[in-house]
This record gives sequence, structure tokens and C-alpha cells, in this order.
Amino acid sequence: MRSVVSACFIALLLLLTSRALEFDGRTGLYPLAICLGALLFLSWLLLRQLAGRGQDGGEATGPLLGLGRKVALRLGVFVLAWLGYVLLLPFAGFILTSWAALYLSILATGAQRRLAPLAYCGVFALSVAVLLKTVLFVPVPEALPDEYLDRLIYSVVR
Amino acid sequence: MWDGIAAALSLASLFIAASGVLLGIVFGAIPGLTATFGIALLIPVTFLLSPEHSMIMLSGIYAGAIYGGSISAILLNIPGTAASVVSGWEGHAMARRGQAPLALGLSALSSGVGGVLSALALIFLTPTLAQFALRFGAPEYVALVVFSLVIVVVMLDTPVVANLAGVFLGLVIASVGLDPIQGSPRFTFGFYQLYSGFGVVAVLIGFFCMPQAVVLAFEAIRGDGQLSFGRIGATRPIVVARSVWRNAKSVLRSAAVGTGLGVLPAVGPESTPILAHSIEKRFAAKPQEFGKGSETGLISAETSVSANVGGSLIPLLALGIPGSAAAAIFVGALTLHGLQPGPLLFQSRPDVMYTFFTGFLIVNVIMTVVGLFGARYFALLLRLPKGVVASFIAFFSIFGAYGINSSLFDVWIMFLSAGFAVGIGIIGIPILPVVLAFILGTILEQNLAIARARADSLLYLLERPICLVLIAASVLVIAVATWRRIGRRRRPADALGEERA
Repeated sequence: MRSVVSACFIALLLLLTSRALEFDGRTGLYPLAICLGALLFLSWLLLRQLAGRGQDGGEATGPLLGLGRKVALRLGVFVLAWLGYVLLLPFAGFILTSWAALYLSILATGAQRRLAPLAYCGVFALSVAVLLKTVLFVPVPEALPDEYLDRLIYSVVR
Repeated sequence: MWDGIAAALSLASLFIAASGVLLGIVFGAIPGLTATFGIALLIPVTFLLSPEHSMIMLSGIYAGAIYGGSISAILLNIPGTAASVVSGWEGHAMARRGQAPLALGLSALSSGVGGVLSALALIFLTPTLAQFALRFGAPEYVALVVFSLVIVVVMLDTPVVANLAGVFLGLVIASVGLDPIQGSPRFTFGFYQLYSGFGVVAVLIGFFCMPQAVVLAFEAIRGDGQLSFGRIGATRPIVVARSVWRNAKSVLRSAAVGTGLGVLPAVGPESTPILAHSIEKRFAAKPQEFGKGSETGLISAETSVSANVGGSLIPLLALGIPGSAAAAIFVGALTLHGLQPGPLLFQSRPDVMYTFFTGFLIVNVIMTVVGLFGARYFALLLRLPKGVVASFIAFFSIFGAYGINSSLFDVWIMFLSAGFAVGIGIIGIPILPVVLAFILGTILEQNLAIARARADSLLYLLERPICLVLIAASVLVIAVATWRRIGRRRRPADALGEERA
């Protein structure tokens, strides 16, 4: 796994180095130098790991190495819930997608109860939506529920 | 200056300082959440505030989180943040003897005292250092950035080659955008949104927040769910104050160690308490008690850690060089408000600086009061399910990245950065050199270009005294670190040789 990831980084750096070679004159020196430096030390690190002198993954990712199948599946659902959230946000609006993503990710991480998270995720999404429209004024993608909320707030304020 | 101080004493400033401290303690108390993470996550929120209020809130979060980590460390021997490991050794041993309220109180008061002492250092040293830094030209900035990166490379425990790879990767990320001299797009791959480079806030949220959400989710799925502990009594402030007063010399020494180490870019609050604890053990009348519930041991650890917070802000505000990962994230907050940290900030916005200095002092006082009387209530946070915490962190990470420019492109940058952070973690490259190089990369390139334009050769750098001193210091640090590593490798070989003989 480590070697595969290292190889991906090296491939990306080779691409960037080839781009840096196309830059004009002296202005291309700096990007070329740092790309070559990164390539050199990353390759050196990969060689050390292949020779058996590498170290385990860092503190944040060490525990993620060596996942069981069930755990990997649930973790995959957690990550996909949030990737899906960003993809669906422009189409399904803020309230629905936030509610769904929060609920799905809490279920994926092994919540014992099913109804309580459904309720408090809904309340949370709605509360944040109200805050965004009345206090923070951050424009977010809207669908039907968001538009109904807009009309409700407008009629209350008026 | 007086206007700035008065602004810090306003009701709004006090409310913001208290909010920052409370939020910070929440982040610090929950294992898995860190000060760096808390600051990164809440930077977008500070967009609604004025620059000085943003800095007061973020410093409150920083100080509160560093202190808050000791709550779970003392009660459960699970450090809330890496900076609380030593507090766990001493504080948890005291808790097992039935002295949990005293341990929590000592942690609060010594953190507060350490924070106040470092705040005084921040107030008096930063303007002096900033004045000195006004003499810096392009060559001096190049030498300073190189010195900072050298410190990070040699002082981290990870292999030097991994640290160097991290530095160069950070410099590559910082080079994305428009060429500073010609203005042509560089490494943008056709995305016009990248012309101004990767957004600092989105990248930092991606580095520190999203991967943490995934790790917490993993722990929840694996079943490392909830923690429990018994009822905790109230702390007695007078007993706590007497103990801290008896250990006044330890407090002063630990504060000096914490502040001094905080100034160095690579030495964050994680390693500071270990050094301070070791130093106090040498001075202690009963060194055998250290590690087994020593009040002096706990006081020295907490004082040094909180002092490190102020120390790390000194080079950031005076020179624009962050003294820790969390301080590096302050750069993101300042950038959001159109402020560039460094000596010119004192000239252009002295009101912001003096409001912040006073606010930082107040933050530490509030932290002491909240900790003395409320620590046992924050302990209830330890009962939150990790899966729920992970889900809300993911939500706020995405929303935080989106909220900067109301753009989903920044969210994808955040995901990309999170993937990058996970990737380098798997390879074994630490995140700190990457973050530091990313923050300093633009400064390095711009000043290098200016220095080259003015000089025919690099010998120009050696003709300037400040530059020469910084280069000599870098070479000295490399030489000492190399000599130590060679010495460490020889010692096992010598021992083996003696065995064979």
C-alpha cells in the first residue's frame, strides 16, 4: 500500500517536472528545482521503504492500515456519504442533503438507535439553514425545502 | 495603543474571548480533536468578526484546547491532545488516589499562569523583534525561511529524508498559481480558480480536520465507543493556589522553557512538557515521585504547554514565521482579513496588535477561572459517541471550506488536501514540514526573485550581516544534528564491539 501511494506521488511529481521544463528561462528555475527536490527525496524514501528501513504510517493514518472487510465497508459508506453530499448539494439543496449525509454517516459509524439520529440531524440541518439565511447570510444551493423555508422566514419577518 | 487596550476590554471582546476559550476546551477535552484542528475548523466562522476579534477568538480556542486536553488525560489517562501526555502520567495517578479535583485545579491554574507569563513575553518581545525585522530585506527573508525549514527538518523525530520530502512537497503546493514575476499560470491545469493558488483555509481544513473525522469514524466503527468515569467533586481554589505558590520557581522555569521552545518552528506543545518535566525532575527534592502523581510534575507540564502557545505567536506576529502548526493556521485567519503577519503589521494596524495582546492576556485569565470552577462539567463531553462527533466534524469541515468563497471548488480542494494528508501519512511523511513550507513557500520564492534581481551571485547574501548570521545558524544546526545522529549510530556499534571483546 505504502509503495503504491509513493509511486502515485512520484508519477504526479514527474508530470509537474515535465510541465516545469516548459516554463521560460530563469522563471522556470524555481519550480523545476523544487519539483526535482521533491522527486529526489520521495524516491529516496521509497527506496528506503523497499529496503525495509521504512517506518509505519503516521499517527493519523496508522490505525487505518490493515482494515477488516466489515470495517472497510462501513468506513467506505461514511466517506461516500460526504462525497455524495457535495455532489448532490447543487441539485437537492442544503437542508435535504445535509440531513441525509449526517444521518447516513452516523448510521455507518454504528449508531445503536435509528430514530433519534433522524430527528436530531433534521433539527440540526434546519437550524443551520435558518442561521445561514438570517444571521450568517451565506448563500447555499437551494431546492424545494430551502425555498419553503425562505418564504416562511420572509412571511414571519414581514 | 490605549485605544487597542480599551477595545480588548469591551463587552464584545470579553464575550468573544470567553466563547473562544469554551470552544477550545471542548475541542481539547474530546480525545481525537486537537487545538490545530479546532482553529482550522473555526477560521471561516471568524470571517464574520473583525480582525482583532478573530485573533482573540482563535487564541482563546488555541489556549483552551491546549488546556482542555488535560481533562481527559487526568480523568481517564487518555490525552485529549498530544500535549497532555505528561499531564496524564501525573494527573491520572493523582486521580486514582482520589485527588482528581486537585489535579484538575492544578492543571487549570498552572496553565493560566503559564499562559499569562507567555502573554507578557508576547507583549514585550514582539514589538522589539518586529522593529528589528524592519531592517530585513529580501535576502534576510530568504535566509530566515531557510533557517525555519532547516529547524523543522532536523528537529522532528521522523527521518530527515521524510522531513525533506515534506518540505519540498509543501513548496510545490505553494507554487501552484500565477508566476509572481511573469504572471503566467503555473501548474493550474486549466482551472482559473487556481490562479491565486490553493486556498490556505481549505487546504488546512483538509490537512487537519477531514482526516481526523475519518479516523474518529474508524474508531467508532471498530467499537472504541464511549468512555466512563465516576462523579468528580468540586475543586478548592485556595488549596490549588497554595500548591502553585509553593512551586513558584518550577512555574517560572517551566514558563521560560515553554515560551522559549514555542519560538522555534518545529517544537510545538507536544514535546515541550516532556522537556520541562525532565528539567524539573532534576531540580526536585523528591525526584522519585515524578511520574507517580507529583504535583510539581503536573504543574511544570501544564505551565510549559500553555506558555508554548504565546511563544509560538511571537515569531508569527513579529516575523511572519509560525512557531507551531496551530500558529501556522493563524496565517490563514489573518489572510482571510487581508492582513499579512510580520513587522509591517505593527506599522499598518497597531490597533489590531494591541487589542490582540490585551485579549490574549484576558483569554488566559478566563481559561483559569473556567478551568478552576468548570473542568468537571466539561468532563461530560467525554461521553459523546465518537461516530456522532466524526459526522459533525465532517459536516463542519465541508461547510467551513465552502463558506470562504461560497464555492464548491474549495470543498473539492479540501477533499484533495485530505487525500494528500492521508497519502503522506501512509508513506510516513509528517504533516508539519508540509504545512510550514506551504505557508512560507510564497515568501521564499518572491524574496528569492527580488534578491536575484539585485545581485549577480549568491555571495551577495553573505555580504549582509543578518543574512550571514542566519545562514551560519542554519549550518550550525545541521552540523550539530548530524554529529548527534552519527554519535547515536556509533553507540550501539561500540556496545556490540565491547560485548564481542
